[in-house]
Amino acid sequence: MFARAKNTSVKKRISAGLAVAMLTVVLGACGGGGNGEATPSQSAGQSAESEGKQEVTLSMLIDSSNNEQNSAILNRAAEIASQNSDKYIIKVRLDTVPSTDMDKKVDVLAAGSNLPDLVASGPKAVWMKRGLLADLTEWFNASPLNGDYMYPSLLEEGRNGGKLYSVPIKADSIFLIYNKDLLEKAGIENTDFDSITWDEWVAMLEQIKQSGLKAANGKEVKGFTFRISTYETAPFIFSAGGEFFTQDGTQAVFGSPEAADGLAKLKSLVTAGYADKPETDYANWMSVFFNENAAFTITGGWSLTSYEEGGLDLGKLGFSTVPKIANSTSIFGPGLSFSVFESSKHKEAATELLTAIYSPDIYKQWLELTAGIPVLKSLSDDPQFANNPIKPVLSEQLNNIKPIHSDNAPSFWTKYDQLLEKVILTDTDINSQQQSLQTAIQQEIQDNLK
Amino acid sequence: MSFKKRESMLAYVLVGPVVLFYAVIFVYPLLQMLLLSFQKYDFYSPPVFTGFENYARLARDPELLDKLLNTLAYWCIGPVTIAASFVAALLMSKLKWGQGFFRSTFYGTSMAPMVALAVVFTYMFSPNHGIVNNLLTSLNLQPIEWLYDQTLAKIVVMFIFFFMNVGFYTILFLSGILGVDQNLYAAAELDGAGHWRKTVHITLPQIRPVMIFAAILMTISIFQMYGQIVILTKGGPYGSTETVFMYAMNKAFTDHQMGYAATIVVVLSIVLALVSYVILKIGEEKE
Repeated sequence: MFARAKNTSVKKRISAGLAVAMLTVVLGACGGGGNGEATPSQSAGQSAESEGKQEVTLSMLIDSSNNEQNSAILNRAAEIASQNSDKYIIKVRLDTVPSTDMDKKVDVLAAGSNLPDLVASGPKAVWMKRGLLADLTEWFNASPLNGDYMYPSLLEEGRNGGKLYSVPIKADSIFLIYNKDLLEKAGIENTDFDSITWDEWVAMLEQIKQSGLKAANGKEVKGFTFRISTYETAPFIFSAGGEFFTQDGTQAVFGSPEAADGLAKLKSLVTAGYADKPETDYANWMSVFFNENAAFTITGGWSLTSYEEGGLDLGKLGFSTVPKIANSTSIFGPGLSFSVFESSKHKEAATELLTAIYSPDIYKQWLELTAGIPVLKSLSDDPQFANNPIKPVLSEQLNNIKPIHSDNAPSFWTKYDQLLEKVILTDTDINSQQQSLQTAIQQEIQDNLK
Repeated sequence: MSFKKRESMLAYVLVGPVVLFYAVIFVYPLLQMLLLSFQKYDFYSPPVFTGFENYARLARDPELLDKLLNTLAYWCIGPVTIAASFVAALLMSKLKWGQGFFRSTFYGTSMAPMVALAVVFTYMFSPNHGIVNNLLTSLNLQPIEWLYDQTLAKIVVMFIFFFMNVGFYTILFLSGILGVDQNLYAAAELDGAGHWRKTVHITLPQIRPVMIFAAILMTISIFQMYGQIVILTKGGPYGSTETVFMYAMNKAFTDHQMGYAATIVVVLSIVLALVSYVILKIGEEKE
């Protein structure tokens, strides 16, 4: 009996212990940072007496791809920044998020007043307008970057109201990529060109169609492959002389006849049987080109990694500016830039890290990782980039690019993607569809500007 | 302190964390959402009270009606999944050997991560290199643009739902079927009942509570479909596979209309609660 009583007592103690433990876990979860990571305010307390410097851990929101390489490069940048700093020992903690969810993540973190110290993303005018980013004008003017930066139009994307909020680290745009091997097999004489008119291009597509080439997987080689997305379709609209928004983003103008003409020309490639079936999924679309089922595609330098991983010999590729309809204007590819959040308690340390990120050693690593070309004159002729085959075309394209200022109409990208699907996959009237969406988007802009 | 009081206190201590957890994770956000549905909020400006404006907007939003119709179309897969699961469970219950193997195999489909499944299906139904189209062309048939046709895209989404859920519901029904009193079958056999009559007059009525539970659970999961559609079709072609829940998500996180999105979710929750209540009542009446 005594033994049973003792047993019951032990059981009760275990139960009570478990309950307390559970309570501690729940309360701990409620009071903590949510995701278990140190918040900037927590990192403020991490001061180190060593070397008389304060230890600061900077949190950075960054795209989740290339996580290992990003960590290695940023840790090295932090080491350089610490060596150069009189005040700080800098460490970096990455908060990764898929690039497609970056805006949502910033929205949610901003709403919860929980933004990190820095963000690695394309320049976002909407964040600048909302006062989320810290003014980097003074830092930039005092840094060696000032005067070394080659593309004023690219840098302009990091400005708002005369202040500089982010400095794009690499230059990107969309251009025409072609498979020289397939062009040669199709009997095309000129397999090495860096600019092309629309008519010349269509003539080549026709020649490929007539050749009846078969790829290794037994499928017919098509002239061209593209993805149904606003980003990859924009070059056609720009090339035809169309626009999406006015520079200040207050007017939607994609309902113009020029924009409709660009879309109609793109659609005509599908109708004429020059294009493979358009894809909506990026990976599937990449596979069409690396499996050599299409001779042309329109994308940026970032896709080369996917092609190489897919087994395509990059030596077969040639590069040209966007086929010229009215001109060869392409879309602005904001690439990568770093910004400091205004809410950061460590702005000084963050700008010191930025200086290290743009130091030649680190800068070159970023470019190697992201397949971009340098935006700095001092590195333009560096042996690492001098032989980059996309450099001449991309440099030319970068002097002729346009951004899409959709900041006042956040729903634009989703809705325009839907319009593209409708226009390309059905026989609907392009003009009326564009006009109708333009009216809806203009209404959204006006509502948001109220 | 008396034994009863001590027991009672221990019970509170044990239940307390769960109640606290529930209150923090579910009740508080729900109340916040309800409050948000009467406000205009875009993440960056302070919320502004707008009364019933968001609710009035619901009634005159044609896009929402479209998404509701899409969601209702997905509902068709519910009865199909339940019927297929029941038949599979019934057949499995008759197995003399290998039942464990079949149970694991069926349940395996529910164990696969939804994201991974959706990605696999994206490759399978790709217009250019999809396995399904490759198979069709190897049989000298025309390839089909699965994800570019409004009806076909919906069917593919429903197929994923079916594939992901049939295993779970089969195991659920199997446990119900195996729990039926065997004496009932023996008595029915004495009365000359065949397989069909035993199924209709004994098995189905006996597992009715499981069926009702399955119907409610399935209704909720159909209304909540999100990840697989985002990965597979991104809501396309031209928004035709978007559900009400996806529409609310887009309104919240793309269009920054948190108040309106909250209103949609509140109304959706009420509709779901009502539908669940109706299913429950139908089940009770039959009993």
